[in-house]
Amino acid sequence: MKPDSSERQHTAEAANVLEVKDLSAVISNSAASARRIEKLCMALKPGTLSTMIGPSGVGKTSLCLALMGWLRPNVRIVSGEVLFGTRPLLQMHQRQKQALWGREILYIPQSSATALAAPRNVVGQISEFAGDTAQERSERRKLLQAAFQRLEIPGFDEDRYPHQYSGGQLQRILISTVFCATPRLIILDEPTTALHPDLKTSVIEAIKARVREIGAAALVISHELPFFAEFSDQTIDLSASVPPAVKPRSVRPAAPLVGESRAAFKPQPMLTEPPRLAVGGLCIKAPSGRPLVRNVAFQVRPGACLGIVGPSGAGKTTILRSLLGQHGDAKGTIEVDGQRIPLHHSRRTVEQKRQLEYVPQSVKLHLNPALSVDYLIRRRLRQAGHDHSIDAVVDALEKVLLPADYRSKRSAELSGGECQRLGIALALASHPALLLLDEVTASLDPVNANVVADILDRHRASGSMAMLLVSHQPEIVARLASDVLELRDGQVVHPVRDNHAPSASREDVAGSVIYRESEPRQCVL
Amino acid sequence: MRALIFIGFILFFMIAPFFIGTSADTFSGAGPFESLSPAHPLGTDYLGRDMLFEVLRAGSVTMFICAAATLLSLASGLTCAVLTSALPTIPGTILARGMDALNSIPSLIIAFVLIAAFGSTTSSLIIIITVVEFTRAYRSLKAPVIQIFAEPFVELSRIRGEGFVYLVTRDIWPNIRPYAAVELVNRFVACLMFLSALSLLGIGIQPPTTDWGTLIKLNATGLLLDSAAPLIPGIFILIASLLALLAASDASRKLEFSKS
Repeated sequence: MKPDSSERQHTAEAANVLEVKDLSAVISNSAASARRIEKLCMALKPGTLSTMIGPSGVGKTSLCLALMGWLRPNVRIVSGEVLFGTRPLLQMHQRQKQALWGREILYIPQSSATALAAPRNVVGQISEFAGDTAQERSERRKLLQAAFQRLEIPGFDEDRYPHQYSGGQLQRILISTVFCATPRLIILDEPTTALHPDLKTSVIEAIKARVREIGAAALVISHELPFFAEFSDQTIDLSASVPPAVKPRSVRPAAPLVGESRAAFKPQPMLTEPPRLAVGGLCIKAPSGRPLVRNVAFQVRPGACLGIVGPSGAGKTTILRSLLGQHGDAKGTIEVDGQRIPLHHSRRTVEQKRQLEYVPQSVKLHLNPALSVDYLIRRRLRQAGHDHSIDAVVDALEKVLLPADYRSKRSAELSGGECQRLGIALALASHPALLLLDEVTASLDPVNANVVADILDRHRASGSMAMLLVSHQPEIVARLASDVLELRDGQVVHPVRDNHAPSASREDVAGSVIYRESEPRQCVL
Repeated sequence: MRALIFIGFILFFMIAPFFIGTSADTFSGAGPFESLSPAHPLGTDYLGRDMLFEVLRAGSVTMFICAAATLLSLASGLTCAVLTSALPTIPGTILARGMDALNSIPSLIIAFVLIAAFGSTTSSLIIIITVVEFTRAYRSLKAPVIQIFAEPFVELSRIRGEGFVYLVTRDIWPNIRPYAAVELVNRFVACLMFLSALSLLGIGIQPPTTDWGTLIKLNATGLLLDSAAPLIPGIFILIASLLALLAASDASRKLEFSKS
C-alpha cells in the first residue's frame, strides 16, 4: 500500500523482483536423512508467472518459505543469497521481514483446510490487513467481492465460516487474497490441486491477469508441469538442483495414464451378486437448513469402483462423510452387504465401523503425529485378525512402494505423496469391505498419482473390496472407476439410464438413479 | 538439561536430612540470630540452631509435600480434562461446571475449611493443596485436550471404532505430553507458594516439624535484630521457583518443536 505507484513502476521495470543466486540449502526431514539443494539460481521478473517443479518430498514448500525469509527448523541455508528487489532477504532482521510478509510478499499455502482460522468468518479474515484505515478496509472488501465473483465462490455476503465451504472453494478463497492485496511477490503452493479442470484454467488465467496488472512476480509450486507449462513464463526444475546421490528414491516408472490398456483386469461382476454397498434416497442438510445432498442413490458391487465426480461444492465429500456416519441428521438408507447400518457412527457397532475404511484428501492431518508407521499398520493388521509380524508390516509398506525402513518414521517425517501412499497402506491393512477414497491423488505429482492409481487398481481387481472414489481428476476416474456418478448442487445429474435398473420408480423422486456395473464405462467431466 | 537441574535440586533436598548428624532438638551452643560465620555458614536461628541444617531439614518436608501435591493435582486435573471432553454431553457438562464452581471459590477459604476439618498433618496438607490446585491444572490442560479431540486423526479413530482406552492412551496422551510437562512445572511453583503461604499464616506445617514457610514465620523476630535468618528460607523458595521456570522453558521449547 505504502510505496507510491510511480516509484514501484520504476523499480519494477528496472530489476527482478526476486533473485536467487547460487543458493545451497539442507532440508532435513528426519533425524537421519537430509536433502540438499545445490546451486539454485533463478530470477523472477515483474509481471511474470514462474513454475517450480520437483519430485514429491524434495522440499519445495520448505524451500519457498525459506526464499521469503521464513526458515523452518529443518532448513539450513548453507550459502548463496536471495535478493528481494535489491535488498538481501536472508540477512534482514525479523522485524523487517515481517513488514514484507503479507504486504510485499504474499504466500498462499497448500493446505487450504488448515490455513484459515475456523472460528472466524472467511471474508473477515481474508480482507483484514494489519494497519489498514477504514477506507482501505472497505476498498479491500470491494476488491474481494469482485474476486469472489471472478473465481465463482458463493456466499460473499453470508458471513460464512471455513467449514461451510468445500475443499476446492477454500482453495479459491485463499487465492482471492491475491486480488485484494498488491504484493510484489506471490508464492502459490499447489494452488489448483483441489480444483475442477475447467476451473483450473480460469483460475490460473485470473491469477496471471492480476499479476500483470499489479506488476508482481508469481511463483507457483506445482507438480502438474504439463498444465502449468502452458501458462508460465519460465520453469524452475528443482530436481536439477538436487545432487543425484541423495535424490529421493524414484518411484517405479509407470506407463502414462491415458491410453494404457486396462481391459485385462476388469472382472465383470456377476449381476446376481448382492451389492456391497447400497445407498438409497440419501438427503443431507447443513445445520443452516441448506440442502447439501438431495436424494442420491447408488450401488457398488464387490470388486467394482464407483467414481463420484462433479464441480467443487457439489457434495462429493459430504456423501463420503455421511457413509462414515459423520452426518447424524442425514436421511436415507445405507446398506453394506445387505445389512442396513445406522446413519450415525455412534450407533454403529465396531464391526460395522470397520467394514468401511476411509482415505482422506490429506492423510497427513488424519495421522496421529505421535505414533510410528509401524504401530499404525500393526494395529490395523491385528484388528483385522491378520498376521502382524514385522514381515507383514514391511509387506504392507511394499504394497504401496514405500521402503521398509519407513517403519520407524512418524507422519511428520513423510512428504505429502508418501503420506497418501501410507494412508492407502493403512486402509488396505485393515482389509475393509468398502474403501472410500477422497481425492487421494489430488496433491500428488503425476508419477506418484500413477503409482497410487496402479496400487488401487491392482487391489480393486484382486479383492472382493468395493471402492468409492471421489475425484476431479478425469484420468484417475477414467482409470479406476467402473462407473461414474456425477453430482451438481447435491443432486445426481446427467443420469446414464441403465436398462437393468431395478424399479427406479420405487424411489419416488426424480433425479435418483441407480447405477449398475454392467454399464459401459464412462467419465462425465 | 535444565529440567535435570531442577529434578536434581528437588532430590537433593529430599535426601539432605539423612546427611545431617545433629537432630533438630539438640542444643548447639551458639547464641540466637548469630550472623554468618565459618561455623554457621548461614548464621543461626531464633533458638541458636544452625540455619543451614534447619533449611535443609525444612526443605525435605517442603519438597516432599510440593512434589506429591503437584503430581496428584496434575494427574487429577488431566483426568478431569480428558473426561469432560470424552464423556457424553450431559455428564461432561456437569463435571465441567462442577470444576468451574470449585475453581471460583477462593483458594485460601477452601484451605481454611479443610484444615479446620482435617488438621494440618503432612498427608492432609497434600490433599488440601491438591484440591486447590487441580482445578487450575484442569483449566489450563482443558484447552489443548479439546484441541486434540477436534483433530482429524481423533475423528478418524472414532470412525474406525477405536475404544476409549486407545483414544486416551494413543491419541491424546502422546500429544498432550509437552503441555503436561509445562503444566507440571507451573503447578510445582504454585504448590510451593501455596504451602509456604499456609505455613507463614500458621496453619500449614506445625513446629517442631518445619518447612520453609514455617521457618520464615518462626524467625520473623530476627527482622528487628538485623538478622539474615528470616530471609534465607525465602531465598530458597525463590531459587526453587526460578529453577522451575528454567525447566519450564525447556519443556516449552519441546512444545514448540513438536508443533513445527
